[in-house]
Amino acid sequence: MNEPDDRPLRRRRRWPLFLFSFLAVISLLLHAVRFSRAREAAEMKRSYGELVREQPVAATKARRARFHQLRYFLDYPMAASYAAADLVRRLDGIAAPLRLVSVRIDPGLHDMSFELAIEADTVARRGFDDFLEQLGNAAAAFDIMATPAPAPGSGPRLFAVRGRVELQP
Amino acid sequence: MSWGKLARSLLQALAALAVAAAFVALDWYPTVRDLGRLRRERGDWDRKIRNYGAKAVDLEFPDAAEEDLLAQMDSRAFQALPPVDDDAGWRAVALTGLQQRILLDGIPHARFLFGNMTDAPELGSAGPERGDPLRGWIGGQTVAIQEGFSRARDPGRFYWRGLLGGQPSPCGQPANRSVCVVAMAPLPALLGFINHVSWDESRLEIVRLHLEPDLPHSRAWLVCRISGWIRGGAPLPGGNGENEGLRIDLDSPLLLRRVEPPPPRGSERRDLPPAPSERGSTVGSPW
Repeated sequence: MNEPDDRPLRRRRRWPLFLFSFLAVISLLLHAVRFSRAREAAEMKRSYGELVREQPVAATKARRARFHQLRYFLDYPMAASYAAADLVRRLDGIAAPLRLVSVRIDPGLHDMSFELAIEADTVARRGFDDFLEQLGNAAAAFDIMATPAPAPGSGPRLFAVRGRVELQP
Repeated sequence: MSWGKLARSLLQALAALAVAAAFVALDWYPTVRDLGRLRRERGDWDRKIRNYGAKAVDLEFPDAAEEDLLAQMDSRAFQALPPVDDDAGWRAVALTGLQQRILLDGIPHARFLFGNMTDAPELGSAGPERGDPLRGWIGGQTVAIQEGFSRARDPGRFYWRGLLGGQPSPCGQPANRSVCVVAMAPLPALLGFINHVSWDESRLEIVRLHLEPDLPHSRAWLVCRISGWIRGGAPLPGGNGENEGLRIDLDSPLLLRRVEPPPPRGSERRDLPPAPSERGSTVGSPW
């Protein structure tokens, strides 16, 4: 007849089991959520891979970039030759009354640097500033640098002028 | 409660705490950490998909016509460069076009220097019986011409190395050599020749031009680079295969649109404006 008295005792003895079960259930839930998230992330990664395969943005851009680069490469020699010849033509057209002694042109990838030797006598020196201005306007030159202006009263003098012009294939 | 029971209860409580702590430390904490990582990873992929979708919306994907154009441009670029076997091959390629061009442009005096200054065949239309007014001038320009050659040989100035290098070609490896053309003619004819110098198959690329305008004849030398495919010979020096020098902005809107067909061959050839046929005096510019 002492059975009812034993129940609290049995309950007390089972509490470690309850505690362990509770902890295990929480673990199980956490693992279930982790599994679900991992599956979602893997699915998204797969979707991204498919998207890249089906709509290759970077590859398309790279192929187009190569197309434009090859076209530039093919057009470049003729563009450089034309630009060099045309620059000399323009320089020769604006040089008077100065005398264009020599022209050196180094074509680059997108522009050309040039160096001129200009001879000016006493009378023509006044036209030197005009020539530099024309160089910017008629020859579309930039980054123009010239040796200092000549002192009046001396004989013919040689000037060096450097600059750059755009090269457009 | 006896001391014994109290001690047992305390031990049980400590054991329970130890089990709970073990769960937390060995299972819950790593799992929660993984959950955070997976959440970030999922967010990253989501963002990537959205960004990619936005990019793909702006981009016109290639159709069959554009696929053709892209393939044609590659083969056109490969065909543009002449195949050569050795230095004699380079010389032949350059000389063939130049000789014809000099005659077409009416250049009375011209010489051709291939790499060194000793080999300078006369090419001008005037012929050897008209003397050699260029010999002395070339002698005075030797140092400057050699500087031009050094510039042409500088691998850093060969802008197409990355573009041509590393591409499989049955013709061999891309390579280049430098040549110098010296010419003397009236300025309009000389400038016409300079403009036309790259029109032939050798596609001479001017690296340095030196010109001295004078009357009646102006003089010029041009150090040029000639590129080609060399069979089993010396490849392009140096370089890491990237498009050094020639770069394109991959974010450019130009790359979002389909490429346009290039203009037909030859349309890129432009002539200079003609100089007036008669000049009023012997000084000043013909233009």
